[in-house]
This record gives sequence, C-alpha cells and structure tokens, in this order.
Amino acid sequence: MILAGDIGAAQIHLALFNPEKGSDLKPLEKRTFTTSSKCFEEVVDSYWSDIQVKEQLNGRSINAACFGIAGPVIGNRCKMPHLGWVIKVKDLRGQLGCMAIKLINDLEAMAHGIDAILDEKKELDVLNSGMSSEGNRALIVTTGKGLGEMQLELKRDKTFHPIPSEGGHATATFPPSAQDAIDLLLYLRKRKDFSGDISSEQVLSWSGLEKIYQFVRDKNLSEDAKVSGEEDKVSADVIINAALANNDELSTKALNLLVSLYGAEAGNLALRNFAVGGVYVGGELALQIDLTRHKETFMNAFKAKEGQFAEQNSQTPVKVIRNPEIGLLGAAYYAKEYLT
Amino acid sequence: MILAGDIGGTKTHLGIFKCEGNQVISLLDKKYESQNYQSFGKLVQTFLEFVKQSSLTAADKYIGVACFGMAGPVKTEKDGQRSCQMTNIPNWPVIKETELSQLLKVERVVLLNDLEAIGYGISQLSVKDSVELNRGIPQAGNRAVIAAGTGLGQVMLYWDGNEHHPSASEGGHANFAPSGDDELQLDLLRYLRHKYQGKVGFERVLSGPGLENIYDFLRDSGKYGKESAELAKRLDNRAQLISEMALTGKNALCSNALDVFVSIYGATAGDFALHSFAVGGVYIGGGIAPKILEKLRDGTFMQAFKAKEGNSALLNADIPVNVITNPEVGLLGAAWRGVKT
Repeated sequence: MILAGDIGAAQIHLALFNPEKGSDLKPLEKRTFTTSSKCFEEVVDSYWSDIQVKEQLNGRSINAACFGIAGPVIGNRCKMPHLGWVIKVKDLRGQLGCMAIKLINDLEAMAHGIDAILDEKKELDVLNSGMSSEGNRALIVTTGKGLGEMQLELKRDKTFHPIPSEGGHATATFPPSAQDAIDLLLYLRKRKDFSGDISSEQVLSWSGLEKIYQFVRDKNLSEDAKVSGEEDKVSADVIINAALANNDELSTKALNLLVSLYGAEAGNLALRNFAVGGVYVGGELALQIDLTRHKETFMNAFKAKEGQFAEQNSQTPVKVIRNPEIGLLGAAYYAKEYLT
Repeated sequence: MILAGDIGGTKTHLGIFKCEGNQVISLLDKKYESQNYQSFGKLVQTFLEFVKQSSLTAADKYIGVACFGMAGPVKTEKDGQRSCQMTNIPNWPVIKETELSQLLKVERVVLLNDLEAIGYGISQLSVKDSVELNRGIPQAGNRAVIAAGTGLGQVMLYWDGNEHHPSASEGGHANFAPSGDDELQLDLLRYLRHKYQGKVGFERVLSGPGLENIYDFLRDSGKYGKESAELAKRLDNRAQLISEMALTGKNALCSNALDVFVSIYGATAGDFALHSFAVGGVYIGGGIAPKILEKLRDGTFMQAFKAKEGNSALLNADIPVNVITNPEVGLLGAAWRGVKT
C-alpha cells in the first residue's frame, strides 16, 4: 500500500492507494484535516487511528509514502512558511514504519499529477490553445492561500522533471493594462508591516483579494475615511460569490483586477521560464472563480508584453487544471513510480 | 579537440580547447571583429586557417566537435537542428548547425544562446574568476545567472541531483517590478510607460540603455542633481560616462542614477533567485558588473537582494552571490558544453 498526502497551508488530505497496473490511481479512505494541529505528526496519528483506515490496511504495511507540501523542500525536510511546521523524513519513518518516504513540493506533486493524467480533456480546460510547440519547458502556477510556481523540464520520455521555485515571494509585478495597479501597489505599501517588498503572493491569494477589494472600495472614499485594516475586511469567499453572482460592483472590480494581475504574473513566468511548452493554471482560488469565465481578462494580461514577446506568449498554450485532487494523485504517482 | 566560440555583436572570440578531468584548457585562441566578415562561416574559416598555420601538433589540430555561444535567439527546428539569427548583425545569413558542420568539416556542431554558454561556464570558473558579494551558505541546488550588458540576460541552472543544466530564460522581458520603500521606482515606471507605450520590461532599466533611462528620468524630474556639461553633449555610449562619473563622485545626478540602477539590479537578482530557488548560488555576469564592482560592494545591491517578505529574506540571505570577473566565461562554457556532447 501507498500513503500519499497533499499538505497545504489551509487543508491536509491523506489517502491510501493500492496501485494496479493499467488503471487510474484511486484514493482509498481519503481524509481531510484542518491545519489546527500542533504538528504534522499529530495529523498522521489521527489518520492512523481511524478505524476504517485500519480496516483498509488489514494488517498490510505501507511500502512507500510521498507527501506534497506547500513550502520549500530542502533535502529530507521542509519548513512550512504559513504554519511554521517542520516536517522531517526521519521522524516519519519511525511513525509509519516505512523507509521509502519522500517529501516533495506541493507543485511538484501537481506536476507528477499531470503526468498521471490519462484523459487530458476530462481534467483540463483550455484558456489558450496556442501552438502545440515542441518546447521542452512548461510551468504550473497556482493560487489559493499562497501563490505557487513551478517550472517543468520535459524529459525524453515525455514526462516532466519538476524544478522547485519560490517565485511567489518575489516582488509583485503589474500588467501595463491595469491602470489601477500602481495605485494598488502604493496602497499595499502603506498598509504593510514588514520591511521587504510586496510579493506577488500578497496580491495573488485569498488574502490578496481581500486587500484588493478594500483598495477598490477605499478609492472612492474621502481621505479621512480611508482606514481599512483587518477589522473591516470582507472575506474572499463573500467577494468571490458576489462577483460570480454579478450583484456587487466592487466585488466584480476587485476580482477582475485580481484576474488581470494573475494573467500578468503567469505571462511573466512564461517568459522567465521560456515555457513555450505550456502553462498550467491551478489551485483552489482558480477553481473557485472558474477561470474559464475570465478567459479574456486573464489572457489579455498574459499577452501584454513588449515587442516580439507578446507574440511569443500568444502562442503559448494555457490550460486550467480542473481536478482538485491532482496534487494528491501526483504524490501517489510519485510513490508508485519512484519509490516502489 | 574542441572548437569553441563566444559570438558577440561586435567581437567574436574563438579558441581550441582540450579537456582534462572536469576542466577545459585553452590551447590557442584569437579575437575577431564580427562585423568585418560577411558570414559567421567565413569568420570561423579564417580562424581555422590560423590554427592550420599555428605550431599546434597535428593531433591538437584535429577538431571533433564545435560549440558556439551566440548573441541571438537560438531556435530548435522541427528536425531537432538548432539555428540562430544574430541580433545585431542582420547581414549575416541565419546560422544552422548542419550547414556549419558541412562547411567546417566538423562532425558535430552545437549552437547555444550566449547566456546558456555562461551557464555552462560557471563550473569552469576558479576562485580568481569571481568576486564575492555575499558569502551565504553554499548548498547543492539550482543556480541562477543574471547579466546586464547591452540587454538583460538571465539563465537558470537547474540541479538534477548530479549536475547543473542551464536553461534559457526571457525574464528580461517580463514586466518591470518596482521595488523599494519610496515611490521613486513607481515614478520611474510611470515615466517609462509613457516612453514605451505602456509596456516596460526589466531590460528597459537593467542594461546599458536602461541606466540611461534611469538617468534621464532622474534628470527630467529635476530633484536629483544637475546634468554635467560633458554628459549633455554626449550622444552615444552615455551609460559608460554615467557610471564613470558616478564612481568618481564627480556628479550627483550620475551617482543617484547608478544607485537606483544597482538597487534594481539587486532586487531583480533577488527575485530571480526566488524564482529559480537558486540555493546553489547567484552569479552576476554581463559587461556592466565588473566595471561597477566598487558600487556593487557598497551594500546597496545586497540590501535590495534580501528585501523580501517573511522567510524569503532569510532564504536570500543564505544564497552565495558572486560577480563573474572573467570575461571568457562564455567561451569556457561553450568549450565545456562541447566536451559534454
């Protein structure tokens, strides 16, 4: 049996897999946990003590385990930036009674998930068909609690070698099309309580959307009334629902601005990674807002680059990953392919 | 032996190399003015004639593979062959691997982008070929090269657990990201948006012409010092004069321009380090860095490099940062890539 996990900053999914030749990987006894625990070991303990998990295992041991984690994996450990948890292979070996354990970045897990996809049409939505180029590089960009980025090097056997990135923490960039963007940056700088630059993740995430909403709202207020802070924020869910139902102008504006910033960021990454092989967009926020509904706004910003690079980006295929389990499947796929 | 070349818009450097262990060793080399030749093929033939007349042994004159780092986009054709149109030499016909192979009678010819060649060259550098900006904590992992010169080149070297693989980037054309705590770079972006009809890539600020753009912006804003008479009448190669006057402290406007340039350089290198997760080290290449070393070492660069949010500031503080001072790094890289064919 294989144990696989998708360890995000907001939720953790664990599942068992019993791989069989020629068939899709199917999660067994999938459980979802919040991140309120003290450490990851505590989460594994509660999964382990689950009666149905015990029954499913039926005395069998775990041959391999792989976890996709939202954070930089260096060697056999990962410190999660949002939770402060430190996850170590060494500690998990004792707990799981299994030597073949691998920690990978959550986006790397998604990359393996893309490799595991058998039916592309079922799992991916096309934002830009582009030219099916012979490019040997692709990338994934996801948004939700944080902004995840990963470059994929296409190998000879047509599978991906994922290259980790911390690009979500690099300085935020803004598309030329959004006139509001410079004002937004100024607004965010006034509110920040740390010494570094505003990062892309601080704009392209749920909390980023909440700040964008406050920016859009405050813009119309008089100087004195601009006191937005944590206390008068509207939650991302409320903003997204209102924007999707089309019954609140401020929410619609805020979401449009986020989508256009997202498109610009994805377009920058496409150039930076020379990802002419394709850009895969995913993550909970992208799924939640149904990016296909915002295709035009996203793609306009994606393509708005200087000179010949506008043309280059318009030929890059862009696809949305529709399957929310892709990271979990990818971790299981990694364990099956590389650890057993 | 390996025939290697660093092919630039103005100068071309060609050499014959042998390999010992993991290092390439130059046997003979010569520099040429690129524009004096009708085609790249003619230029290389001239060098091969020079090799023929030289005192190298017959064995050393035998060339098994040729590899060239080109200042221009290298495209992969449908049949897997690579070709290149030199950016600043439009009258040279398109250079193709197969055609060169036939012309030079060398079995295997490899064309690389010049930045990729620098990427391969990193492994060939010795201690004296670079100057440290940040010691950091060296780790096995990805590396990154950022090189401001005529344009802005970037290349990432991904680590597969055994070796580094340079992979080309067009990051110089991504949207410029204003950094810093004051509004200066935001105003700079506004100024350049006006000049370039909205679309401003990093190269518009991080390159020779980029330094001139920064200078013009500061001059036109009127708040950062007066233009010197010497610069006012200078029409070409102003970047060179701006950095010289900045380093000698002769003109405040020039000093301010170089300060903004170096701060943007540091911030962009720091961002590229995060993008590439370059815990294995960041290398500053290109023609500008060795000329402004003193300024790069005054703390401005590293301060901007590390000015990231949360853990990323700590991550970047641990990354070794070095300026490549050996101008032959691209040539060495092309030779090393030739060895690996």
